[in-house]
Amino acid sequence: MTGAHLSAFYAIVAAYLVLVCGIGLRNYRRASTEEGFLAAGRSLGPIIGGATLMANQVSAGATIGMVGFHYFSGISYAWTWPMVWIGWVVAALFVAPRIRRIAGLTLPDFFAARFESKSARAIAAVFVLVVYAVMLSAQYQAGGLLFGLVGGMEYPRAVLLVAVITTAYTVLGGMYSNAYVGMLKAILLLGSYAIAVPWLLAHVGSIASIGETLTAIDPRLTRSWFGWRQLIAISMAIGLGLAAAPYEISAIYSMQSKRATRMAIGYSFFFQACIGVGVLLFGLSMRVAMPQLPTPDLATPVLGMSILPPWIGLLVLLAAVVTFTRTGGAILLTVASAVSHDIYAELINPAASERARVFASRLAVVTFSAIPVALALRHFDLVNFIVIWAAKLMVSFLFIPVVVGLHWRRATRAGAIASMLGGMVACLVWSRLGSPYFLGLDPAEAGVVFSGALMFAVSLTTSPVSAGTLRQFFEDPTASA
Amino acid sequence: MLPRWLAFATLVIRGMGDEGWGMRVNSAFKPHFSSPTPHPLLVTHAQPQQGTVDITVDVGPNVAHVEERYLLAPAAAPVSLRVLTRPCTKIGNLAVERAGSVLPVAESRAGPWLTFRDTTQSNGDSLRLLVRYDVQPAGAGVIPLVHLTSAVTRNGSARAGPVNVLVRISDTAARVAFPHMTRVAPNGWSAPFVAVPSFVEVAGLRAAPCDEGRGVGGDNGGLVWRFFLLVGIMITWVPLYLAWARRSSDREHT
Repeated sequence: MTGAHLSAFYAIVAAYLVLVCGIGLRNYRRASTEEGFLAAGRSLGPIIGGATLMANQVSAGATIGMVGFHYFSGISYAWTWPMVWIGWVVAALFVAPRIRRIAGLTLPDFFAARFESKSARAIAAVFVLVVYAVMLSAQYQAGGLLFGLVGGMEYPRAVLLVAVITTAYTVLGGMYSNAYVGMLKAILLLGSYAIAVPWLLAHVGSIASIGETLTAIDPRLTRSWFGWRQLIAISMAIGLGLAAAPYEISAIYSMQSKRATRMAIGYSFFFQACIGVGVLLFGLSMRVAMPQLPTPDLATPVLGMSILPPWIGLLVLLAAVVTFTRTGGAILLTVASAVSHDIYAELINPAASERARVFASRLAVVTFSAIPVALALRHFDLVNFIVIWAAKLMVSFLFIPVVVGLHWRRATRAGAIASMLGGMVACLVWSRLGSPYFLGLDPAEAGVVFSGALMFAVSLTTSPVSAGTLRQFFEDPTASA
Repeated sequence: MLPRWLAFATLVIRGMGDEGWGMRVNSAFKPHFSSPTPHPLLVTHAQPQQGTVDITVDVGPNVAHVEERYLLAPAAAPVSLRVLTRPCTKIGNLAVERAGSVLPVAESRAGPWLTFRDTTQSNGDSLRLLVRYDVQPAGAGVIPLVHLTSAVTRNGSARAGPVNVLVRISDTAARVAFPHMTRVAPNGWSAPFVAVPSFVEVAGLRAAPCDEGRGVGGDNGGLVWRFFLLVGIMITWVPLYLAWARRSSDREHT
């Protein structure tokens, strides 16, 4: 990248920073209540909502990590897109309609309301804090790689820059900012991919010739690097994890209505389909164009910087910057809400004023933006491996308590806590024991199995929650389980 | 010193790798990329001068002459190079020199890839490798570039990269169309890369026409049908889901 292009890159990043801060400032007043800051005043319609759901899911794991995955492993990983969508259908059918019955702001709100338990709220909040800090570090790491390679910036500085952009608009506009920046992200991703993919294919070759080239390198690239067993395990972890993911639940709380939520999930499928195909073709084409990259995570940065014409490359790079800063913003907001809403406002100081709650949220955004910086500086693994790891823990911890809690009246407080902790421990132990499938189970599957077994076993031996609480979630709380 | 909580978090996170707590990833999933090991011939970090590649492509009216100069570290691995061939494009006069002497190489083909292996199996005790060859471009003006079969690791200056490519074109009306390169002279184009591109494409070159098409009859490993099946599933899924969501929401309203 020449000096002029480098200047152009930093100019558009600066323009992006100004734009998102402008979005944040414009929504500052609307985000002056806790409901406004954490749930956009429950005002999101289907299209902005769809962009928000997509923008939460399509993180650096997709635009940097997944391009790298396709680069080294070929097409097979792309099958996770439709399989992950099954998780979204589970969310549309079994999670969104019921969870919206309580006017919650965070996922731990659901645990507190459904299981009448401050302990369940606290455990869920701490879990969200830890796992999402790891996920946020993956966004920072991807940003550090990109700014380091493209801008020649030192990795620690680059990570800090990403943290600053992410924090700036989130602290100002909360969920409102996230929603509008999510729409911006959808437009940028779709626009840049629509231009870059045809250009790339015109030079690298048709799908058939890419297939010939890759098959000769390794036949698994065009067939199945990952077996179905592995793809199902990864998809289950990500898809079912999404159905109960705290940032997606926060987005669901932010929608206008149940109908808007269902339609938003459909629009997010459209966005994801376009991005999924673009990401796949980027990865495969890059393997043909530059087969010996030092690390696959460089595929997107190198594509934008060295392969595409400058203005298309800059668009692709900006889309990547928007991707990890926007997903980072959603994660950061979820982490901050766990601290400010679930721990401070609900457990430590329930009498806190609206103003104090919003101030606590903004303070938490700034404070908890810093911790993942320390993690990102350790540079643990490929970006997508970090995201998959966090997703596996998430599904093991959250899926059963959320879905079973919403649909089984007999689920109890003790059952939910045992389910959360047991699922997480099983997932961790399995990943320690398994290489990769101890007793035929992936760690995420083991986590869900243990979580489910504990939920049913412990719930049946402990007292059910009160009829008043059940009435919020079920039509007839006295009906048999 | 790290605070205790941060040290703990760091330990937990560090354990996420293959060796500790966390998602153990089948080693088959994690190719050499996940912890990139430099090619034994390309030790880059200890000696910043090593591990660089300078490629010069002189494009004449009918033939392009390519010279690749590798500055390498001593290594035990024999030299192995490969090139992605194109229909009608001819590669000839390939010579691989180490320390001034020409290495005998054996040629083998797999699909569109041609591989050249040093048959002497000798230790790479020299720091310099020179690869020269001629290319007769055809059709779209694609000039394939020979590269080592192992990854080139970035050196300290990540942005600049260890691979410098210079393309000189005798016809000043022609230009480099792929990958992106900067015009440094009326007939010169240059760019640094982190790895060797598998080809450069020169637009406006009066290359011989080519009717022979790649992607016709070759083994694409089923990529084409897999790709279109995937796209088909996605295209079908979206309207089906939206129709269901609209109908089910309307039904609940009434």
